[in-house]
Amino acid sequence: MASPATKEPASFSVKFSTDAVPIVNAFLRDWFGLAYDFNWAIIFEERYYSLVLTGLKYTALLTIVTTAASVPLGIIVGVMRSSEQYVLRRVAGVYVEVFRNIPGMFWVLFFYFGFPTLLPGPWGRALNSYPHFTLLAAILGLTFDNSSYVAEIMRAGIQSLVVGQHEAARSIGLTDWQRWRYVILPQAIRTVVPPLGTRCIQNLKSTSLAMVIAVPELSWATRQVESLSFRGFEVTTIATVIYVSLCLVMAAGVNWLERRLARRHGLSPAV
Amino acid sequence: MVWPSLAQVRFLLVGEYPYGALGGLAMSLVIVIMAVVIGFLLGVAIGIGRLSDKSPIRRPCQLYVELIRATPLIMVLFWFYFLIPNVLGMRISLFWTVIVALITYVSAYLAEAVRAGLMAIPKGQPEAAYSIGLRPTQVLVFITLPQALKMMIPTFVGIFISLFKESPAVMLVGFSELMDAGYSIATLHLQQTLSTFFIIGAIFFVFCFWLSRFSLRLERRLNPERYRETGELPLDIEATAIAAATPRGSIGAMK
Repeated sequence: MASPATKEPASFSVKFSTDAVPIVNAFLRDWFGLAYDFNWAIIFEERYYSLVLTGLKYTALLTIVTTAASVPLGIIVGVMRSSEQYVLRRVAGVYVEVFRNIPGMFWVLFFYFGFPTLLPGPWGRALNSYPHFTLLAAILGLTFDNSSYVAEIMRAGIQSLVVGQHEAARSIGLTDWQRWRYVILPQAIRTVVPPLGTRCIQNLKSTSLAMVIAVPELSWATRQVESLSFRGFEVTTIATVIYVSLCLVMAAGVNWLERRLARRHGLSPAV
Repeated sequence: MVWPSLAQVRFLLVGEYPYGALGGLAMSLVIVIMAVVIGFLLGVAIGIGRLSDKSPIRRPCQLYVELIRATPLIMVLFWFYFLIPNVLGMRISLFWTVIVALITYVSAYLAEAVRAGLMAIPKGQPEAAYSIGLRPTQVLVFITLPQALKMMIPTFVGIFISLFKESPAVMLVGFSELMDAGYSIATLHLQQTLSTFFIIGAIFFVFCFWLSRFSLRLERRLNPERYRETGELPLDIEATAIAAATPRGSIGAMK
């Protein structure tokens, strides 16, 4: 019979981390021959979870800013690509092909290392000494990369409309601006919401490329925690769970938007 | 602007090959081709598994595909980079770690393409095959799968291009390939930063542009019935590939 003096004080978090782990580890060691002690409790240590939370914050920031910048840019380039004017069409075509056929990581590195040397001397030096230049370079690289894909999706959406839409808009005397603004773009954007949503989810995953120039986003934080604690597998699992949850949230948002647009415009969502 | 020397261009193309490790563009191509070829077999198996009637087969395949497609490539690389030496207690070379990670990653996308191809086969094909007395396995192996794979060849090329463009992520676990070679030249020789970037960009551009044009031609050659009415080429192979490989409501598509 245990005396009250030998009873451990109730401390939930410590008991949780120390009790369950040896059992799981013994199980894995005996049944799978794993020579590794998992320690999931590291995520409850302040210096590690603060890194991961900062990473989450930067990933969210990069995703929101690059999506918000690249979708309008991509729509403009997509309209230029479908324009009747040869020069506009060619310029937009070159833009899309250049940014789409070269990897996103190249663009992130390019805007960090190459872009300041392209600018006139004082500007380049000012940019290099700007304290948030890594973040800015990552945003520029990811935005231009993503906008080329958005432009291709937009062009497909615009070309999926029948020619009669343009002709009808012209025949009732709309100007070019009115034709695009009130007739073509609203229909084209509704059509491309599903692929555009997929593209934005892809953009969320692309933000992990920013770790190559040490933007402290989630992937960078993962590697950082690993190099501090040598618990790479645990923290990678946690980061993966975060990425998958973010993707699921975005997918749910896209589905919601699609249904809402369909209801408002009386279309089936499968348009 | 100072252009890279011939030795540096050679470093970008083949690494230190005859005197040391293979690297540069050649290594990029080796890992991507190996991953796509081996991942293809896994992708076909998982793509068929996703269409199985039995939920113990279908569910794990579905989970695998959705999980991988919602994860950045760098996370998949980290799994194997940290998992294999620590957890299994084995030491394997970085090359095989990278290959295993790329296979895992690309097979999910290939599985989606295989599934989309199988679902696009007209119902009459398997019905006719069943009516002449073939068994389900025979219908799959001799009737539906060959047609689906043929139809999806341009999509496979699109996935190859996408993986080639995402493969620079392997430099983040310290594996040397084209982008890593360029990165080391650009950061060691600051005079040549810009010119090195131009050369790497040009290599990627030429490769991906040529492959995507090739894929468009292939698409037209293999599936003429799809373009007979309009007489036009499809807009863009990757948009087509994404549309074909992305069922509604699923998350993520490759670049």
